[in-house]
Amino acid sequence: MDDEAFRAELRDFCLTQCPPEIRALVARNGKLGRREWSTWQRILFERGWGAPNWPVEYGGTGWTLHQRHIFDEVLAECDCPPQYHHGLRHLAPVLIAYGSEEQKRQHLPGILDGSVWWCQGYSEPDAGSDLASLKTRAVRDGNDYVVDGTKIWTSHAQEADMMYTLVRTSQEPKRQQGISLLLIPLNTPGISVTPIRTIDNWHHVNQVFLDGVRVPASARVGEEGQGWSYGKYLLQHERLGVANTAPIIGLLNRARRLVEEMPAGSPRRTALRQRLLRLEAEALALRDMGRRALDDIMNDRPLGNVSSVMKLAGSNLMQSLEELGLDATGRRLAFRFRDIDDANGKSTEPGIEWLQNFLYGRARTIYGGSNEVQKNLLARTLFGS
Amino acid sequence: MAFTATPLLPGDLFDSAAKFAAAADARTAELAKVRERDEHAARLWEQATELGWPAIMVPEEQGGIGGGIPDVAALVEGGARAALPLPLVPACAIVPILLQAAGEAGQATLGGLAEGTARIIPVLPEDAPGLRATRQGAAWRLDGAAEGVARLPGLTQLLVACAAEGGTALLLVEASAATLREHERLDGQPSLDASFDGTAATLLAQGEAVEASLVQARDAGAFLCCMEAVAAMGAALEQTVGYLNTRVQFGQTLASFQALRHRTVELYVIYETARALMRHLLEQAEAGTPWAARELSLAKLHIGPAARAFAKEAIQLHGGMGLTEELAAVRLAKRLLLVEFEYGDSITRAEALLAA
Repeated sequence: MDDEAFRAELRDFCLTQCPPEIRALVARNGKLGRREWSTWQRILFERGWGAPNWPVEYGGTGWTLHQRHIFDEVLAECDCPPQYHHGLRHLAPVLIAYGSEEQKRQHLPGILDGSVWWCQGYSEPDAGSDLASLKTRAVRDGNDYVVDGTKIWTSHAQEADMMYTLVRTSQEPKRQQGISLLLIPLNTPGISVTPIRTIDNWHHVNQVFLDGVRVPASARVGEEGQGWSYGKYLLQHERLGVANTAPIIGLLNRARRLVEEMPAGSPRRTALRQRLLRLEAEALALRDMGRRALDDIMNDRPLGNVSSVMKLAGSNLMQSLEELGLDATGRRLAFRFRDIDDANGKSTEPGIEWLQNFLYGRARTIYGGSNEVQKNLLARTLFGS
Repeated sequence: MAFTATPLLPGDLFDSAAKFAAAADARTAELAKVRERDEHAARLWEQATELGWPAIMVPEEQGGIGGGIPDVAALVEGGARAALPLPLVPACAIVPILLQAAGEAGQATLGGLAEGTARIIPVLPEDAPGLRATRQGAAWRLDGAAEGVARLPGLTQLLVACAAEGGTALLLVEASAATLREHERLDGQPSLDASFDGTAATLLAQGEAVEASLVQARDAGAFLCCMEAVAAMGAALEQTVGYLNTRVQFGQTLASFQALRHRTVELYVIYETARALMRHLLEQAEAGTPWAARELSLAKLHIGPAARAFAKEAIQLHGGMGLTEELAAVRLAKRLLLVEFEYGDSITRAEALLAA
């Protein structure tokens, strides 16, 4: 099937099969919860499109990287949610590469049909960008591990069933050694999840306390002490994710709609339309970088610097688009950010999500390897040391 | 291994232009007087003519090489690595594009271009807003002025596109018949103002064909100018990295300071972003189809200000040396400052894009 026919088929599916209320939520930059994500995942699964990034024998689609890129783009163009990434794009590739047959049998089907929800237990209060300094301990006790420690910034922990977790199983001279990857059900006794109040008035991150949490040794992925290399394998998938420019295209379209709907002839609209042109040019550049990166991967060519460059340029561009949304709406909505009559202060003002997204979006330059870390990496290649 | 820029159009043309420009720049650096630099640029043009550069886009039937935009792009990409102070884009691309749309009269002139006997620079309507051609019987006359157009040594004619009764006209004017005033641009390229006072001109073509060729010429100009910007950024980045790797202050190389490393990375991101845009547009040029107009315009809108931001930062990273005429990187920075003003500045482009 040629690209255009493929695109048309996907578009038709997205527009007819994705529930209108979910598309409306995406279109206004709303916060997606487990309910929306899993509904959409179930629909994709039933069509056979649940896991485009997996090998066919595990339920993949057999699409080329190029087709997967088109899939991501069409989802974004049609205001459909992107696929929830933690199980599907982060953990599953590690399980497929390093997990036991039993682990694959147990965990992959629930990820594929969207019935089991995963979150990532990596960061800790004293291990942020410097992840290798993590301290959560897992002590072997017979056939179990007993886990003690704290995880932080854990997205979706409040609605997840499972957490894939990096823990320290032994003290080694090198900090990257002695780390293991455990799959922990969140309903295990000894786990408590506390929401973190974030600046955007959304609930998405949590602190997860693990106090004498007992998990069987069979919950460990791969070898004991090799967790860091699995984690790195997973992070590479996360970085590859930046070659996916679909979220940028989606946000650009929404920003454009927002500005076009402002009163014609208003000076603010004119100024914002001008700013948007610059951002559109940057999006065009990033799209080309992403396309080339995919070509390079498909042809086994080295990727070089591109993921760091795209992380830097892409996160800045997304923030600029979100700031444009702030400027379009802030004069009105910044003065009515929270509703006193709502228990959670949730505002129902149309467009309020632009303010929330501006605030939430500050995280883009912090997570996924902060932009400063990316600059350190790039500087090493530029200066040769 | 420290950073080296990868050309978008590697090959013989790129290599020979890059080598030529590097040698030319070494000499430029030694010349303190504007007149000396001007004579140097004139000699460079003689050599460029011997190398056949003005004939690259002239069709083979007229004695040229029969190349296309990608060939001139390779040439300017190489030349821009050392801010070669020659008007390659107007002379090697704009003029042949306009002449090819000008029927038999244009073809005869193209032959002269290939032989090197005709040395022609273009005057586009935006260079000369008040310029007007009028018909007097069979003869045509020009009145008005053009500012800041390219200049060649031994200039024979100006190829003028301007408003006229009956539609936009393309005319050839003898250089000796116009009043010329010579300048050196901010980036060291030769330029001139021309004024016309009932000056005799030969009409080559008029109307829609001229309009269409002007669109083509402007697009090619914007594309090639941005290609020069990317090449100049790449070379300037190499030199900035080299400078920071060798310059020692406080007992250590500047490259060991994180603040400077991060600023250099920001330059690199500007460069890679501009390069991605040009790679995308180059694909369209190589396919031989017209550029997607909006994309080309967005690229120029972006790269003009990006080139300036890059230039300012490259100067800062060279410290006091960044303010001297000594460094090649500084000549590259000055070349980059010109990009915004060539072939449609960002304000004009934004206005047009928003009106579309």
